[in-house]
Amino acid sequence: MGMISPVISVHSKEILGQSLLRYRKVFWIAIAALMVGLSVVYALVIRPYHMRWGATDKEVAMALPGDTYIAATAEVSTRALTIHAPASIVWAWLVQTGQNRSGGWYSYTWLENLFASDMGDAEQLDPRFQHLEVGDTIFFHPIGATNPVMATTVLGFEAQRALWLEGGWSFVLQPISANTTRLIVRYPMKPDEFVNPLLSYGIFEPAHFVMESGMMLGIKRRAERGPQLGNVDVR
Amino acid sequence: MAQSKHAPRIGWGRTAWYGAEAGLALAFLYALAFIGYASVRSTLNLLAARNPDGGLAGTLVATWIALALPAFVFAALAGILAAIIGALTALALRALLSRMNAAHTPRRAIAIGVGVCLTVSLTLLVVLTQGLGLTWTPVVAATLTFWLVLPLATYVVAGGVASWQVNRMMAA
Repeated sequence: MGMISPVISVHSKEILGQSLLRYRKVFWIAIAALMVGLSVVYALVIRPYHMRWGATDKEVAMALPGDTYIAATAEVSTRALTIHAPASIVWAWLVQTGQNRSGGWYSYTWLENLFASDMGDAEQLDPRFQHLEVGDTIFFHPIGATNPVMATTVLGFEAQRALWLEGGWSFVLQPISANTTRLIVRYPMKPDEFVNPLLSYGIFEPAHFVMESGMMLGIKRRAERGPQLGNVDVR
Repeated sequence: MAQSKHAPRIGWGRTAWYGAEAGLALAFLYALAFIGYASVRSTLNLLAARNPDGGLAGTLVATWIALALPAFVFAALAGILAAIIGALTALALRALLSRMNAAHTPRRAIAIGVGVCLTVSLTLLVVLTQGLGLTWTPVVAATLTFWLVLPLATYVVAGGVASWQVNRMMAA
């Protein structure tokens, strides 16, 4: 055995060394196939799905308050979600959104914080952030204070009904019944949103879907937890 | 005679090429690891969500692919830098192995590789912390771990493996 072990060891190392080089082609073919496959599936299936995630034809076609601010070159996404809570509660969560307000966007906090976003879980309604003014700035990131790309501005709102932000990003609440609300979100995808069209298409658009759908589901989860307004004034 | 016995069979150009290829490959492997991690975490988040109108299965698949595509595009871009670093590291290793490991001892080769990459990594950390004032705080802990600590750890481990490979080729 004492004679065999070193032989096996040397042989194993040799095989590993050869394998690293031999499987290079397989690795690169797999990576190329994965990238091409992902791009095709994304373009043909996923993008058409996420650009109108959960929205009906009527919701996609309907005019929203922020539409007048949307650039002619923009391609819009319209996403919608049914929330089993009154519009007043959904509004209370929506209105305090922002890194500089409640401390979060209700989305994938663990993902946002890979970019030093300093996002919190924002699991409580905070009376301090229940009031908005036109012109208020909402941060995506702490550097929003100095970098306008990392912040957005409130262009208008109608309490408990709609909020529209810079560029025409609209959040609309449609009461379906006393305890059910439809949240409709429209975002204008500008072709040069992220440096150039290719990067916008390959990085910004899919990432925006992940974060915006995460935010909408985050609002839904929080709003559906039950009575929670307490002393929060949601007029 | 002695020179021809130890003359490396792998040239400088091929060494740089393999190094660049390894750097690019590691960028993609890191992206794959991220995609796996992000897919699991997003799945847990989505399973906790209640009945998305887009359908749970559709939302899950769309989220996985929407996470994977940017990660791959970013890996391809970051891979350019990784390829340059890989090529330069491989050339440095080949030069050091020629001078410091004439006997082509595998353990010594691995130690040289780890040592070189560790030195580069620590130098970068010193520059970032002392020169640019980067500090480790809870706010940036996840950011630094993801963008700096794990890539540098990967670089150090890869340096050991690459050095062993270059040494093996030189000894062949």
